[in-house]
Amino acid sequence: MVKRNKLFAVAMVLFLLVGTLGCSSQSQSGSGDSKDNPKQPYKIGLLIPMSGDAGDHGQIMIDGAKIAQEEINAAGGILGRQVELIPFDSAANTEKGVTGAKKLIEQDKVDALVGTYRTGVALAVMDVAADAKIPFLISMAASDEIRNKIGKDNSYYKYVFKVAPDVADYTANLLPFLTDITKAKTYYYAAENTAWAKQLGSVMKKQAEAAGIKLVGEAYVDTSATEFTATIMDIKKANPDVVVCGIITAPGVPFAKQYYDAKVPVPMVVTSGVLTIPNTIKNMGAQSDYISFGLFNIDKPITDLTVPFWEKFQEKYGYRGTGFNEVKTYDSIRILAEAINKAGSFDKDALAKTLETEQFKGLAGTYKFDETDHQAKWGEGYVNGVLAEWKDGKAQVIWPENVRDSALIRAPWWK
Amino acid sequence: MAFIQLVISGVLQGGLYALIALGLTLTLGVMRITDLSYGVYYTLGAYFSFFFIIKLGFNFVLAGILSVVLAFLIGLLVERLLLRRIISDELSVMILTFAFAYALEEIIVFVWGSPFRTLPPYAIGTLNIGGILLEKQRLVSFAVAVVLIVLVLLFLKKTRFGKALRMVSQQQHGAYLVGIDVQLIQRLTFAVGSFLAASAAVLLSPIYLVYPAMGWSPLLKAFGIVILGGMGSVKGTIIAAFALALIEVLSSYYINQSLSQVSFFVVLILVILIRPSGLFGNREGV
Amino acid sequence: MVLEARGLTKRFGGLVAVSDVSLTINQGEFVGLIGPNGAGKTTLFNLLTGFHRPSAGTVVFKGEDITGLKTSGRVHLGLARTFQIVQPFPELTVSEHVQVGLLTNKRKKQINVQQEIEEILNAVGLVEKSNDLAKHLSLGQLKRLEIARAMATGPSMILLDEPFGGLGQHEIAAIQELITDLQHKGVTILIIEHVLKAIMNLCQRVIVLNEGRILAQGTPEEIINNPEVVGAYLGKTDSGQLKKVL
Ligand SMILES: Nc1ncnc2c1ncn2[C@@H]1O[C@H](COP(=O)(O)OP(=O)(O)O)[C@@H](O)[C@H]1O
Ligand SMILES: [Mg+2]
Repeated sequence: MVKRNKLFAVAMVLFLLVGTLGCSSQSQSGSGDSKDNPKQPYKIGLLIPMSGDAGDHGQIMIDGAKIAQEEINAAGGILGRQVELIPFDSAANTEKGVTGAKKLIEQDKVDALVGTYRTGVALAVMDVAADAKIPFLISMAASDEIRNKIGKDNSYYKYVFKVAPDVADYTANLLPFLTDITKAKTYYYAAENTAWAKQLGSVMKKQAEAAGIKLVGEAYVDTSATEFTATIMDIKKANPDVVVCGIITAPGVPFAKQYYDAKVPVPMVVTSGVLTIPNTIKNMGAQSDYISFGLFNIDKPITDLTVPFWEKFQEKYGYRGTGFNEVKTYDSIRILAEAINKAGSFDKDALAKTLETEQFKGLAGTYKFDETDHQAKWGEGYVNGVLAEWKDGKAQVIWPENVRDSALIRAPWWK
Repeated sequence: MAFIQLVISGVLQGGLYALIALGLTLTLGVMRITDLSYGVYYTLGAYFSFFFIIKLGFNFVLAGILSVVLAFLIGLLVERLLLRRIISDELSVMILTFAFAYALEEIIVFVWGSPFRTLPPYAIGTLNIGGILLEKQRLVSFAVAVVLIVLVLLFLKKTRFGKALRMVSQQQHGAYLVGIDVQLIQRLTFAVGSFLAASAAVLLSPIYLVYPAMGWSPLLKAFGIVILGGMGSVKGTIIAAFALALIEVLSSYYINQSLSQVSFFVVLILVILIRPSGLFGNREGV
Repeated sequence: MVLEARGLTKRFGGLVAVSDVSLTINQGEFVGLIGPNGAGKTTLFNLLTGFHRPSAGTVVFKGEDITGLKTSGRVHLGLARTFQIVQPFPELTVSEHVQVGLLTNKRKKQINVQQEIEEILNAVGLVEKSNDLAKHLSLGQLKRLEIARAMATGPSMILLDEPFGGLGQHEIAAIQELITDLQHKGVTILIIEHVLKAIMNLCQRVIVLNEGRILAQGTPEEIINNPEVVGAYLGKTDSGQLKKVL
């Protein structure tokens, strides 16, 4: 008996080990050549996950990047140089990300880096890029640690810019659901017990309070939870005007199903994750109806680039974009090209200056980087998202008004 | 009222936990191994039914039966080809089953990709009995789980195989001495365990998500349940499964929702401290 | 000849527990297997009954080569054994132990199960205990239960591993009587005993094992007067002292 328990303990330790295997490493400086020869292609290294737990996302990013590359090259390239993409599989792993960045810089002699899905990878690769004085556009990693790091030493991270949305942008994207669409006075935050969801929760609370909306209850469920009676009863008891859902991994689906079946009389909006992915929704039937969610992009005329891009993407690859991975990769590459063209030279300092001062058009709106922390600004006139609602397995855009398919479709049992 | 609703939800969940843990407790008792790949059969059961229902368009009954039969056969193969050689070395078994589970996860990613999948529910809607809500899908899954558990219990009590299984579980050497083919019983028990894990997945995949790493969480829960119930005790396992579900749902409503998993392990540790052999574990105390 | 071993060898890593052992046991014979602790007696039993695969050598039972046969198969052929450390089913009653043994019995079609259980329990003196769970029995009772379970499988040969170990004088006498009865019923018996005295009067032949090898065999009388045996036990040749120990 005792022996068995010991073995079980060993097993537990093994589990924990595997869970924490991702370790970080310090970076060394590399050397970068500047090659302004117009005959040479302009090489962009893509640091993206093509294996590991985020492995699905990499191909979508490449697919988005290729469209940007084609468009730029068809229009004469970057100051006459054709764009060449060199992807590297970072496996969403810090160590591999650093190795990849060094390989791209030292062996492939890339002119710029785009990518990283995980914040940890971005934070490590930033240093490699800064040491090598290689421009690095962070396309997806969201945590505000990145912009804080840039803000603290923006002469060192002169060439690092964050195209990716900030944590606060995730919640700012949902805010119109409370202020404009439902005119809510109160909300309930149902999320999973992770650092990310907690971060979202506290930012959301600040933004909501600033808009005069009160948090009346919150739940942080375990990421392995499968039964949500307690959560749903707590929501009913708190009786909020809106439920904001931050359950973005596996438990999101059983939660949404139970929420639907319990006919909770409160509209729900989801920040991102499983419940925003068409593939997940596909077989959920009616149980996905009336779930609203934030998206960073969709095939609506957000800018004049947006609809043609989505059509091209669908036609070229035969599947629908996610509104995030392909969009942010595409936008990053376009911004890089537009900035160099605007600067009129390949000089890196001129590029940095242009990125800091000018505005750039992308699929998600107009990119304007903060002068200090290099974070792309969010909101009207800048980059902005959309809100949509699932109905009969289709995403109906419900905000902003100028591009929406319909107003919020109300479930019969809502109050 | 709230309490009744919570208890009912807990009981519905408990039935499925019991089904998952039952297979593990049988394997543990009969084979005396710590099988860290048990969750794989849960994952496989879910992917098989996804494949049969969504890709081939079979109805869910046929898909469910095919899935669990396939899992049973894979269990037989794994026991014969993988475990048999190393069964007497517990550490090797743990390392090998752990590695096997990871390898299989990669194979699933290779074959079916890593995106989340969902299955349509086969019973939609909710019964409202005097304010108590009962989701039909969970009710159906619970009912099937209870039927399966009762069948397994009858099978253990009434059939020759069941009796032999219980004897191997009680005293392996003794079982040899009365002419029981212990290895055969172990192989079949392992396959029955795979079958039970897969059937839990078939019943739960219309409620949950299907994805390659889905088997780890049930594995951990099943281990917790089996330890709480007393290694290899069927009765203890079933009681512990319901206890786990009730602790989860009650603690998350009355204490804090993020404590549902923690509270079970707190109870588990307390029980182990007071009764190292678990609630009903006495077999090895003889 | 009912059992024959040829060149049996068993290695555990570098340790040779049983080394090139050949022996024959005749139908109805009562043979003792003695030797100091660690001599390889139990290992030899494990090889004969299929709990271990031999590193070399063969086992022939009733003219059939059973070297590759599983334990269960050997039990079905009529080769039963007991363990030095008893191995009961804690949650089964005494009569259930006999019952499960009978499931393997070749004659089960012709026998009245209930009557057979009673007969066996009578023979081992556990009738009053027939409804007790094994986990509630004393060591002496468990040792007898172990023999009862072996008897139920209908063996033509039984291997007994130290059936007297840890028992008092009274219990020893009861088991001695029980195995004498068995022999009278025509069952061939091979018995391991650490202390020769307990089987002196029972055995027709004694085999002495030392460091995995057969050191000597012969009648009990010959064995206790064999200086090599004495040496193995005591490290010196003093048969007077040896007689006390054995
Ligand atoms: N399964 C095993 N693995 C390793 N060594 C063993 C094993 N079984 C027995 N031995 C060793 O083989 C030798 C003979 O043991 P055993 O047959 O039990 O002796 P006996 O029964 O004569 O006292 C001892 O040295 C013992 O430690
Ligand atoms: Mg011994």
